[in-house]
Amino acid sequence: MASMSVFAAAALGMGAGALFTGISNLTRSLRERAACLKAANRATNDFYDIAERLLADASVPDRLKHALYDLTLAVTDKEAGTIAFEAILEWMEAGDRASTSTSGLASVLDGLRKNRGDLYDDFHNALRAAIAALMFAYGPGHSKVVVEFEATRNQSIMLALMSRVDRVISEWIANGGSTQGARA
Amino acid sequence: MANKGKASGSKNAGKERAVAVIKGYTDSVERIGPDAALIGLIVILGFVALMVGVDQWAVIGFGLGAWVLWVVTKFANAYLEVRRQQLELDRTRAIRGQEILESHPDRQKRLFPPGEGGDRNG
Repeated sequence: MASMSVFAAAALGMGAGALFTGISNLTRSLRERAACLKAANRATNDFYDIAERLLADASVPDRLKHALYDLTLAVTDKEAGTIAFEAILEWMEAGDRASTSTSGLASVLDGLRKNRGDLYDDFHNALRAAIAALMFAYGPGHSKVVVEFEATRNQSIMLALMSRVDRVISEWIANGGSTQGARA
Repeated sequence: MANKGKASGSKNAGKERAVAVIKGYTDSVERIGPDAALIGLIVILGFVALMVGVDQWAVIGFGLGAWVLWVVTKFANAYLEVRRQQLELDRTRAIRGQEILESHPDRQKRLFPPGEGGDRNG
């Protein structure tokens, strides 16, 4: 009888320990998620600040405004954001850094760099903020994203990512995602 | 008069001692962190309860109850923080993002290209 109660106490202790570990892990992941959302909010605000300025500036070429508009849609609309994030994730998982096609964005940006260096810097800051906003908002849980986030410091990689986001959002709009955009 | 002065002096000394105890406790809490301080407090209370003869199962029950409450509170706080941050992000997107999207003239061209039914909003 005594051994039974010892057994029951041990089982109870192990159960309580497992429960504690489970809830602690869940709490830790929730805290990480909250920190990521906070960072996403900060990056989103930074992006909006810069995007507002750039979209209102007549010196910014239409091609770049078009790309910025798509990025704004990706940052603002959840469905577009999920699509953009999946495109980034796919690109990262492929690990094919050689394919940094920028769909002509690089040459337009080069022109901007020569004429308006300040806008060129702003555009890169907007890209960095948008990609950070997408990664922090949709990234938690994807360890690959956290590891690869450092890669976005490289401007050509960032431009390639942006070009990919631009393409998928354009496709999304063309395929009927515009109803979301109209709501946005 | 002298007695009055003595009484107010001892009253002040009592107050100072209480303040010193509270300050010492808050300093310790700052040093070891609120979680460790709470656990320590519960353990000390448990020992005190055992020493004054409270039933041991009542003490164990109290300790377990406090522990469960602590774990659940931590979890609830973390969950509420996630909800708060998510709502803040949604609010930023809904206000600022939509304002930018709606004010940009490219919107109509992008969303409703010519030859596809024109301006669906109009």
